[in-house]
Order: sequence, then C-alpha cells, then structure tokens
Amino acid sequence: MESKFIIAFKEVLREQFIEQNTVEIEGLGQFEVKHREQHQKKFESGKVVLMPPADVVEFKSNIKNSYED
Amino acid sequence: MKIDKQKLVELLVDKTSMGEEEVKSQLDQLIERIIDAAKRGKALEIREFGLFYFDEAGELKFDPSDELSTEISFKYAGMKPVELKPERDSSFPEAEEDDDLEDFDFLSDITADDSEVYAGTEEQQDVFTEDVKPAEKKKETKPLSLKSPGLRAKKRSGSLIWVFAAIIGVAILVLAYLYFIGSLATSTQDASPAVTQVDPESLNRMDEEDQTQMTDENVSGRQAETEQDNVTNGTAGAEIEIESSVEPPEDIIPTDPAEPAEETDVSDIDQPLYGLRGSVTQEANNGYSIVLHSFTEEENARSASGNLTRQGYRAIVSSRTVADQTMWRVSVGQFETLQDAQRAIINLPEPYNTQNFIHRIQIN
Repeated sequence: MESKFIIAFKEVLREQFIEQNTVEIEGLGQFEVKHREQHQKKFESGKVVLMPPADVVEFKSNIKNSYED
Repeated sequence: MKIDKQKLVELLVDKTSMGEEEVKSQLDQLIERIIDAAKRGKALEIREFGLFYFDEAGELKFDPSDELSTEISFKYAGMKPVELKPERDSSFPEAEEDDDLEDFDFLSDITADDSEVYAGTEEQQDVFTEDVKPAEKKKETKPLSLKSPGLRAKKRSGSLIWVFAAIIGVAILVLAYLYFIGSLATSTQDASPAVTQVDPESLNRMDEEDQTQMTDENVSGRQAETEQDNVTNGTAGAEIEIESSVEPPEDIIPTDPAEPAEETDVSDIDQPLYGLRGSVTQEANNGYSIVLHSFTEEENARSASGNLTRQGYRAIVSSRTVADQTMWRVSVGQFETLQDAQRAIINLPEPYNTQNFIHRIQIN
C-alpha cells in the first residue's frame, strides 16, 4: 500500500468530516459527524464541570468479530 | 451529504492522480488490513487519523486521534471545560487548633493522634465531619479532668482564639498597608515599566531570533506563497503503523521513506524550521497553522497575507471548499504539533488571540 494513498485517504476523509458529510465505506463502516451540546459532567469527588460543545466523529460498523476461535 | 464508496474512490482519484482501479485496490487493501489486524486482537492505527479495533463485544470501533478531533471541532477550538463546583476539600486546618490546645496536655495528645488517623484515611472526607470530630473528642475527654478547671479551660481557649484571630487580623492590615504604600512609591518613581507592560508591541515580540528574518520576507512574501504551490502534500507526512499489544511490530506497513521533497530554496539562515515569525519554510508545511482570516476572494486573502508578512509573521494563503464554496484562508505560523500552535496563540495581538482556529497546513 502506498503512503501517497494513505495520506490522500486521510485528507479526503478529513475534508468530508469538516463539511459534515457522512462517509460510508462498504466493508468497513460509516463515519458520521455529530454535534455534541455543552453539558455538565459530575465527578464522584463532587466536582462539577461544564463541558464545551463539540463536533465529534462517530463510527458505526456491521462487522463483528467472534472471539470463540 | 453522504459519500459512498464510489464517490470516495472518485475523490481519491482526484487527490492522488492514481487510476481508478488502482485506488479501488488500495482501498480494499486498507480495509482488509484494518479488519485483519483487528481480528488478530490488534489495533490498527492510522497516524493522525485514528485507531481501529474490536471491542470486548466484538464490534469494530474507531477512536479518532486528537488531531482529527480538534480539526473536526475547529469551531469550538479554545473552549475549555469550566469548573462549576470544586472538588470537596479533604485538607482541614488542624495546625491552628493544635496551637490553641497546647495548654492542655491530655487534649493535645488526643488531637494529635486523631489527626494522624484522619490523614491516613480516605482522602475525600467531608470537611464537616473532620472539623466536628476533634470538638467531640474535647467533650468526651472533659469528664476525665476536674469539672471546673475544664470549663474554665474551655472559656480560656475560646478567648485565646479570639485574641489570636485579632492579632492576625491586625498584622494582615498592617502588611497590606505597607505593601500599598510600597507599591505607590515604586510606581511613582518610575512609571516606564508599567507602560511597556501594556504596550501591545511587546506582545508581538515573541521570537527575537525570528525577527531577524522579517526583512527578507517583506519582499519575498508573495513569492513564497507561490513557491508553496509546487510542493506536494505531506511528503514527510504521516504513515500508517500498527501498534500491537503483544507481538512485535511486524505489521508496520512499509512507508516510502518520504520521497525527498522537491528541493526548495530556503534562503533563511538560522531560522528554526517551525515558528510563528520569520519566513515560510516548505519543509514545515506538514504541520499546523493558526487561521486568522477567511475570505471568499483570493485577492483579499493575498492582501491580508501581505499585511501579516510585513508584520513579520509566516503568513500562508490556502483554499478550502466549505459548503460548496471556496474559502481562502490566511493563516500564520508553522507548528509541528497542535499544542505548539495553541501555545503560540497567546503571542498574537488583539483580536487575533481570541478570534482564530488552528488547521493543518495544506497547500493547494
């Protein structure tokens, strides 16, 4: 596999994510960019933190692996 | 919009100028490798992109890298978690209490023992429970001694606390007054340091060594921009590698040892490869830059870039397609890592230090 291809693969996907596009790669899975609202996070120590909003990439795949063998 | 495999192949063909069949076969190879490695209990990492692995439930997962996450979430760059409620404090002021109780031998012994026990227990004990317990001990121990001296002793300790607090209060006031007088005196003596602190020019003076390169760049700013166009993307860029948990890294995909970047004439002497100021170096185009402007017209971007170059910054113009529109971004600096770029933001003058975002350098 050529490194030129890997670099291009990363760049293309990054550009699509930034444009909020969903990328579905047959045989692998689907990448989707979701918006996460700001929210409060409570720690066991009693600390409460307000987390900023963010755009995050989510990956879903139908590929399963059985650990039986 | 949804990009399927066919569309992805087309985009990759455009990007790599490889044939469609070749791109398809490369993509299939990549998918095969990801799944293969994952099935063997390994995680396959595509550097600066993310990690593919099977979780405990046997589902294929992807963890984006920090670089990718930051780039995707660039709109919210610089937003940090805000602490609304602090952690419960586990330390309590035992020293003062001990001082007050030193008059009474039996009490000081008990409290000293107790404090050791508390220190050894869980860190996150409630302040209230810790504060109350020594007091309770006091009450418990009182019956051991004679009643009347005990009561008197308690009153005495109460009054001692007040006297002690009053003395500390007065001392603080006196110190504050002296400090105030002292600062007034120094500020009237020489007001010049205060002026230089506020001077925005000093904010710009980050890398003094870089400044020496400024003059060269004034002339060749535009030239440098056009030179960049010839450089192929990410020659020294990221490769792919497999991080194996157990086995030796036999799976490292051989990467073309970064085909030597087309020799560019970097006329700069002594200039660090990465930095905020100086002139743009082609070799540093695999890093990150701080975007200050985004224009729809290239001309405007070039003129803004010229201004920044005249101010001594490494200014870069690049275009990106956002929502089907070509945007011309003007960014400053070349940084090896995201963290370096984030650190450099504080050295930018207003309003750039608050209105910016970081992107990966990508010369079109």
